[in-house]
Amino acid sequence: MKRWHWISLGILTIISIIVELTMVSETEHGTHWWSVIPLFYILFGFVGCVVIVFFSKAIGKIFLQKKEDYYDTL
Amino acid sequence: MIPYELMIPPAFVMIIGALLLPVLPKFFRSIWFLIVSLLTLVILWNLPVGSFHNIPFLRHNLVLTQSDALSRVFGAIFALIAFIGGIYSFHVKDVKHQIAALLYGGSALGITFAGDLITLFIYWELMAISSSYLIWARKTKESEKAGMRYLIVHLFGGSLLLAGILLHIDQTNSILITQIPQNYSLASWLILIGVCLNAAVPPLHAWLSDAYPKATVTGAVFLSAFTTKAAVYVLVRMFAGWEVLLWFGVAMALYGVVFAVLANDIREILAYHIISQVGYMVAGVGIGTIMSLNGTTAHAFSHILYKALLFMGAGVVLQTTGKSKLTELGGLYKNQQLTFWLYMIGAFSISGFPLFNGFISKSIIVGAAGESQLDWAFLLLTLASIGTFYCLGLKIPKFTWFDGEKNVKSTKLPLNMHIGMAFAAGLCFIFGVAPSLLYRYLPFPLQYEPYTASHLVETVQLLIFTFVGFWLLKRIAGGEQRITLDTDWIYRRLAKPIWNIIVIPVDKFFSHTDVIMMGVVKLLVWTTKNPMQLFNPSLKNISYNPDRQRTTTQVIISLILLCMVFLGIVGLWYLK
Amino acid sequence: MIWEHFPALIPISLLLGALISAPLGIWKRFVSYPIALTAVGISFTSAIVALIYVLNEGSYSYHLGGWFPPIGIEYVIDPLSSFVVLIVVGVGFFVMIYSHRSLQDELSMKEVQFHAVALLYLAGLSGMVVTGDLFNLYVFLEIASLSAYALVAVGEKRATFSAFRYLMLGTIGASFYLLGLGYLYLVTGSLNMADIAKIIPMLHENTLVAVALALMVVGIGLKMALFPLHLWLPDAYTYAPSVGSAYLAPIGTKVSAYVLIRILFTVFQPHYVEEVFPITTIIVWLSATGIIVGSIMAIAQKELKRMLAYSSVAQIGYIGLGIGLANPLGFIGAVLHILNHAMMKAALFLVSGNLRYRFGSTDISHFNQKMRIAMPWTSAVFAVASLSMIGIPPTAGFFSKWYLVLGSIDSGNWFFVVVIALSSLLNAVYFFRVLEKMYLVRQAEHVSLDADKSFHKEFKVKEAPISMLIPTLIFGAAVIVLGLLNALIVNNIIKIAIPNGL
Repeated sequence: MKRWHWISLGILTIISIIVELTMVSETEHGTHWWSVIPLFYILFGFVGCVVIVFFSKAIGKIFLQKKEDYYDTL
Repeated sequence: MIPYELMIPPAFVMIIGALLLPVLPKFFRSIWFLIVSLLTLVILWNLPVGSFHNIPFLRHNLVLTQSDALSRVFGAIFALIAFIGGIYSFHVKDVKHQIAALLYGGSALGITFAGDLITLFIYWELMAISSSYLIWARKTKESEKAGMRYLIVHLFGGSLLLAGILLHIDQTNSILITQIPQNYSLASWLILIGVCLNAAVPPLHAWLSDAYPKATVTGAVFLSAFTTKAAVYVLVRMFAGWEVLLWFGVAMALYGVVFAVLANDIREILAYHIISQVGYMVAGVGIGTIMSLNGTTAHAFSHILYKALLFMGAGVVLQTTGKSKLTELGGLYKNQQLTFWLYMIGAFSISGFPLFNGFISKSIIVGAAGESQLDWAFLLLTLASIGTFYCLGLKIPKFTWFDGEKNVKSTKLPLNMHIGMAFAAGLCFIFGVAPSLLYRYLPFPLQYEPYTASHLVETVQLLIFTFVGFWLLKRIAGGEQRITLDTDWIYRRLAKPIWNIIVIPVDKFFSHTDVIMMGVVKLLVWTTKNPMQLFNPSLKNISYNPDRQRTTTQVIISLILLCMVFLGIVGLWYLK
Repeated sequence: MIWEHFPALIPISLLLGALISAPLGIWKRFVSYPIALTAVGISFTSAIVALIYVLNEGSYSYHLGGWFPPIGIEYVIDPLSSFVVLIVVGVGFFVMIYSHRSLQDELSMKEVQFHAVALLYLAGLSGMVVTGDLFNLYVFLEIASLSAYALVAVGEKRATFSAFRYLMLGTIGASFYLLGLGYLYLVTGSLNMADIAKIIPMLHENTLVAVALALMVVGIGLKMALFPLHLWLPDAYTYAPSVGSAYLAPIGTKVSAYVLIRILFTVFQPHYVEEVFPITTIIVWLSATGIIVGSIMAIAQKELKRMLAYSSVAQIGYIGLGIGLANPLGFIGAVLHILNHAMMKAALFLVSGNLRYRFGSTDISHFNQKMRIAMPWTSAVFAVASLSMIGIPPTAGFFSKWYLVLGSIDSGNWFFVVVIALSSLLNAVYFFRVLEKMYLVRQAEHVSLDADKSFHKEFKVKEAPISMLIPTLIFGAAVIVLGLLNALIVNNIIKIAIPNGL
């Protein structure tokens, strides 16, 4: 990941925040309880990703993941 | 409009086309595949609205072709993907594989245009059987077993479906396909479960993640398109608005994602994502509003295109390196740039990037959830989108094409496969930038504008910060050399004990019967060698010689007299 | 004008034929065959006319010499008798065509006498069928029996011995019949069947009548080869000349079965023979035993004609079973089987005659592929007739067995159903044994056949001569055709022949 990749992503983020704060006032999805939280989707994206990964890996470690030849040795 | 005479049921075109394959010259077969798919597309697109081809059967009338906007859209994408798959599998020489693929597509079309339940069922079973070949054709030990499991599970689902259909016909005395009211009767449950098995709704989904990764390189493309989406079509037709589907759909969407995170094989990840995306469609059916049903249809259309593209990309990796596990792959970018970028278009589509067709279709369903005040569904489906991007847009590309510690050899890239991928990718892009091309053919009129500021903002923020999360976790994001148990554990684990209980005693019983039969035969032979030995034991085992064992005249005359006496006694006794 | 007397023509033309052809034949050998054939032809035509007449107009009673019964002798043409006499004379006609070449091969120098005796035999049988008078029946019975003994005696190996045994036992049987007839005359004062039938209901408690019935049944049963009175049959059929068996087997015992039907159901009436003196029950059990015993003994045989002889015992058992069941379906089965068995056995014995003609012997252990290759048509007829004997649809044999099964179920006796099924399996065993030898290639044989370069030249098709092959083919075709048309026959002929009271 080169530096300019990160910079362009950062710029994109800032543009989206600006757009969100200024233009998104009366929209179709505006009636939800989270519409009032600014930067909701940024949080949601980051937290959601982390939660999914940890949750899945945890379930995997506890029950689900087995050695590759599990079914063959039955 | 096409003239009445040319209105063949679209399924027939493909099926007959499939059956003609063996008699055609080898070099022509792949071309024929493409011709048949295109022809089917043309025919079905021009069918007028209505039901045709009524055939009397027992006490009912089969309706072989029923055409309206919904079936036209589904039919069109089925035929189209058959065409694209045909390009992708142009190099396949196994005629059985080609026949199976065309039959598979034809039966999916049959389901789409069926007007009655019996026709539906017949195509349902044909679909199961023809698709099984695509798994077996891989010819590895795992694929053999997986194909068998696949077939058994599907036939089981088919029998549930049949039971439900028969009950339904008994109760309503009609075989027509119509919306079933939400009365949760036994008949409708059975049909629902049978259809949901094909739609890979957990817990009936394990066959998909078990079998699809083990199918052939080209077969997986077809597999990804037909079975599940034909089931979704039936759900839209018959179970629109059933609330239980909303719950299961949302659960499905997340379930697929969780398991995909754990999976190591690229195609297994893709398979679990089929389950996840179909979850969106099932949830859309469950919501039941016009918007959500439109969303389901649009999403099915888009999904077929980008999922096929993803499988095609994974297929190229498998074909050129012989490997499909993330733990064994890496560093392919140098040799496979085209493949990578075409794959990424598919990944962008499925993740809902603006300018691609996932963006314009997935959000209809999510938006419909929002409109119906189903906030929890909205959030959870969005969460699933995050996971989707993570797995497909980030995890797979990074560990397959980058992360180049391992030197994986890759052979030359096949041209036709890339043409197929390019075709699909192009369509993903076209529909992405001009969504009205798709929207105008949806079953209900749709007023939806995907490219709103808020929608763009949401998507951009979501995707960027999913990427951030991924980047931070990238050390643990890679695959592990393990398998994940799924609900198929039940029948895979229990197979051996059940075998011991049910199969072995029956086998023993039959071999005992065999032994007894042999004994009876021996007895008969002994008797007939010399029947006289029954009367005269001194003749044991001497073979019959008429001259030696002739009944003497004295004996005969005595017998006659005996008869006479016997009859006389009987007569006199009766007359006393 | 002469056709007014068509009932009488049937036996009389045969008698006249015998009487004319014998002296003329001794004078000039070659005239005996044409005259005999003409005689049988006239009889055959009369029988056809009779059947058509009966189907259109109903039963016809002919008074011989213009004398009225019960003093005079009456010939009765009703559906049953016209049907059976057509079978008898029809078979006789085709076997007569067949006999020309066969006799030249086996019995040269004796053809003239043989034709005469055969004509007498046919005359006797046909007379037995058409007559309505019990004593006239006895006369014809003796004519037929004596000619039959002669037909057997001219055979080979143990023919003389067999003929003598047949004579002894046959005479005993005929005498029993005569004795029974005598008692009946004593009690009823009449010899006419219809007349006696009217009188017997008043005599149900009379023991003499019961004894008369028992005697007649034993006598006729012996002629019919009802178990256990069948033991004369294997030797007689085996050692007779090919044509002799061809005459004897299809029709001899059938006519006696017909007589049994007449005595039981027309003279004594079903009520008497089922309830007052349940002789039908005894007959049905004896027949069932005969079916099984005959089939098992047939499996043990190594010679084709002897095997077919025991098979005939089993088939007569079927007819006896149908008679003994004494219900309409059983009756239909029995009468249909009279027809079917006549066709099947005629075909089979003609086949054996063809094999004897070309190969000189009919020892089964010597059968092999060469037979089938040299005589394809004969083998085909054998195969078809075997399938019919086993009872495979759509050949004729299946349908008569089917009616018998229905009749057994009707009378509630499932044991007989088992017997019929079991016997079909046993039939399959011994017929398939022969078919296997003829049609299936053994490994060793295969090698030797190929290696033998002169094989194909040596065994090009050498079928039986046309005059022998055509009757064989006709009977073979009849087996299939009659099977397909069985519904026609049953509905139009047999159903109207069912006696009242069954």
